[in-house]
Amino acid sequence: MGLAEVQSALARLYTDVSLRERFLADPGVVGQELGLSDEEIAQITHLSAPQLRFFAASLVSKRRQEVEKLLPRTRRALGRQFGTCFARYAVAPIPDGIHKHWKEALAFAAFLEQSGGQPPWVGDVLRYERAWLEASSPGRLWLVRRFGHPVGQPVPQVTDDVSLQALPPRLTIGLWFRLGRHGTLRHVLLSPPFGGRR
Amino acid sequence: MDNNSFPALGAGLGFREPFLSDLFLHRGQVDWLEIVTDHYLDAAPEKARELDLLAAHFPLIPHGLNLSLGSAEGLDEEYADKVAALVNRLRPPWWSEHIAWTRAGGVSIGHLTPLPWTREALDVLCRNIAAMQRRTDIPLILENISYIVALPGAEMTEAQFLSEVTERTGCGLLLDVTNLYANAVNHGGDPAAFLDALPLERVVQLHFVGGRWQDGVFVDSHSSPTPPEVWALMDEVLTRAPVKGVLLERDEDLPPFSELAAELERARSLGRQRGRWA
Repeated sequence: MGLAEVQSALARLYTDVSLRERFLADPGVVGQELGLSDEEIAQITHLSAPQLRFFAASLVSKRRQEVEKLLPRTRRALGRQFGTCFARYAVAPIPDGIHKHWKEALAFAAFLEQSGGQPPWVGDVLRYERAWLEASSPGRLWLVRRFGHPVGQPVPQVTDDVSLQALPPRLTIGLWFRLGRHGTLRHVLLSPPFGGRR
Repeated sequence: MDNNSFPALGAGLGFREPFLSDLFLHRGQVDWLEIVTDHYLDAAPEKARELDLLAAHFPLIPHGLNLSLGSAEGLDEEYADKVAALVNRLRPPWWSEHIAWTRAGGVSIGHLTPLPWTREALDVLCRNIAAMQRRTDIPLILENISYIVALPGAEMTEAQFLSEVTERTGCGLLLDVTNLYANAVNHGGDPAAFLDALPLERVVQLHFVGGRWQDGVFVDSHSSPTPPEVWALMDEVLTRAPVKGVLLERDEDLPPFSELAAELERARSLGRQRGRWA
């Protein structure tokens, strides 16, 4: 059995839901598509469908848990919708290498922003956490973002209804900076009087 | 690898950022820390300073997650260099990685995945380990993983596979007793027989923690207190193997620090009773 070929095939079966379901329905055809020999196809035909599906689901769950840690306020703001959105996002390729969870959190934040549909205050909380991630990148010296809500305030736990207006509108400027490449990342939020309430 | 050359570290904790304040408030309750290598590679200045702070106060053992030692396509050379550089800088008594693969064919799995217990997989694993051993002279110890998917085509048992790889590479073992328990309950098998088949003299370190049950499967989620069955296994291993350190690996549903400290004290006490440290 060629381990490299089998690992390549398994990697795709673990991470690609449509390929996995086609494989479970017709392992011979999909095994050939994956470039496996008859002997290799015969081997992986013995994989357990429940185990494959369980493992694949656990991979998505682990990815979501790691992203939740990096986007805790967005998690609170979106409530249960966070998991639903992540399930839609999770068909995207899994980032590799150093800081893969950080990369995935940024990718998921971008996905949420592009998807839209959140109330403006939730969108601001998301943009605030995305800015934190971007600012924490090694080598980044400064970052400025404008928000329409007081994003530094505690975000209440939302369980069902994200349309709940949890943060009142208020112009807020976020500034992240380091004093030199090896300086500590500092952060201030400003809500100037000239911005006032909208 | 001779376990006698390693210092006895006692009961340690897998470092996670939320523990930072409590670690220094309760310094005497944690003997050593395991750090995840990835968190300190190409790190932001804050993480680099965090590592310096931890190293100044605790013995640190680097623990790798993504070397993918079982990948038939070989190591990611640049990543392997960075891991080795970190290990060489910290100069710990040992460092650890998993007997697993995490990427293949340009696809990252995102998690540890088992190898088939075959001669070919053994050759691949030994080749990649040798490549790391050329990069650092710090002893590498290898961890058994828990797995959901049982791969067909095994030519030996997992315990035989672990024995062979330690024999051929000279590596020690990081025996994760929770993973051992998880695999036994999920796939059948007798943990005692598994231990009998292992070269216990090569066990340097243990991992322990609790998981959760989901749809009849015990998931190694690092999310709950260590269950009685795992404590019993740990006691068995501490009785029979020259273990130098035990480590609590808690990642999810973090409890008050006092609960973690209580688990560490119990593990420390077990090690003392079995004569593994003073």
